[in-house]
Amino acid sequence: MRSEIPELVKRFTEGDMQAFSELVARYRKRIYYLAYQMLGNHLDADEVVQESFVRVFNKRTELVHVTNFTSFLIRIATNYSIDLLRKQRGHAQVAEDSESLPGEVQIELARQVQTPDADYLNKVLREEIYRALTQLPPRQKITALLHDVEGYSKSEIAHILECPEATVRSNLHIARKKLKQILKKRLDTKE
Amino acid sequence: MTCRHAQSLIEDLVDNELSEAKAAELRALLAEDPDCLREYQLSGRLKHLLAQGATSGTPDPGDEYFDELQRLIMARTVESAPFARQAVAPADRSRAERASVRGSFIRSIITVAASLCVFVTAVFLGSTDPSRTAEREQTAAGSPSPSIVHVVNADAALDLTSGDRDRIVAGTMLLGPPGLMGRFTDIAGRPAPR
Repeated sequence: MRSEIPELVKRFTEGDMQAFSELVARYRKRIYYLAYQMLGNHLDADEVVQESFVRVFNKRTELVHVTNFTSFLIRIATNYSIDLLRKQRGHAQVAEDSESLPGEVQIELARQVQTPDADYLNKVLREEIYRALTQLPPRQKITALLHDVEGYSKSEIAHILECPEATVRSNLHIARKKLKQILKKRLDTKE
Repeated sequence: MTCRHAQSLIEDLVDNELSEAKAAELRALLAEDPDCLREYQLSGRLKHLLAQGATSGTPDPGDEYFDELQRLIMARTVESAPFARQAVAPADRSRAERASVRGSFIRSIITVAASLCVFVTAVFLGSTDPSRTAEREQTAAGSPSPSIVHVVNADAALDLTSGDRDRIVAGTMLLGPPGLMGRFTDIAGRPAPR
């Protein structure tokens, strides 16, 4: 019978290494895809996954006091990803141009969803957005990823990142605003 | 509600985080204000595209990779930590303990043997010292060093009986065999005669 996460964590803290192995098996893909979204390449994502579980193993005595293992693990993974980003790429460069195109462009794009070119346009837009996402500062990037890609709520993100919910809202708002601006500008350039 | 105020609530509406009353009020505003409506549609489109990217933007490395990743993680954690011994089965544990005791015993034997070798080598090297050859020739096996006998017999102030002298001499024989400890000093602590 498949054990629940809290039960696996409890057994792990009591010395059951089989429980730890089960936890790794359950979370490895999720952490990998999150790290890949953050860092954009396989090697870095691989490093994040390995290092995250090694840190969880080394911090097993702290797990006794942890109420949400998922948040705990994701926090470790995101913090390490942010550290890697800062070491390898520095702070992200975001276009300072605050000009925005008329909203008619996006409305037109929305109408075009029904046309035969809609799938291709969606694909192009998605690539543009993810390229813009990689340019965001680490905290804004991880907030947007956790919220809009992974589906975590703002309160969950606040718990993961150990910051106030107001900070999460602020980072998310700024990230979305920048993404929309960059997206509009690139679409304008293509026209 | 004005459009400017609505801008800050649009994202909450897109995220379904507004109360029913607030959501209804905002939707009414959007229906009347085209700029606000466009902003809402843009926010919704962005969220939709980001969510799509979660499933289609990341390449799948395959199950073999994840299995190998798991093996690496276990090698770096469980298999390299002393904590891992707690998970060993009882039968395997007794076998491991026996092997550990056997190993300790063998190491102890080797250590004692090495110490004996060093001791014997030191004795042998000392016994081959030419400066002691003459004294050794004078001294039969088991006999005290002449210098010790001389000191014991010559020191009348010690007021020793013959039994005492014999005991002292026998003791120095144990303490200072020719070629090793007797090499450096005699019974009185003076340097051994060359």
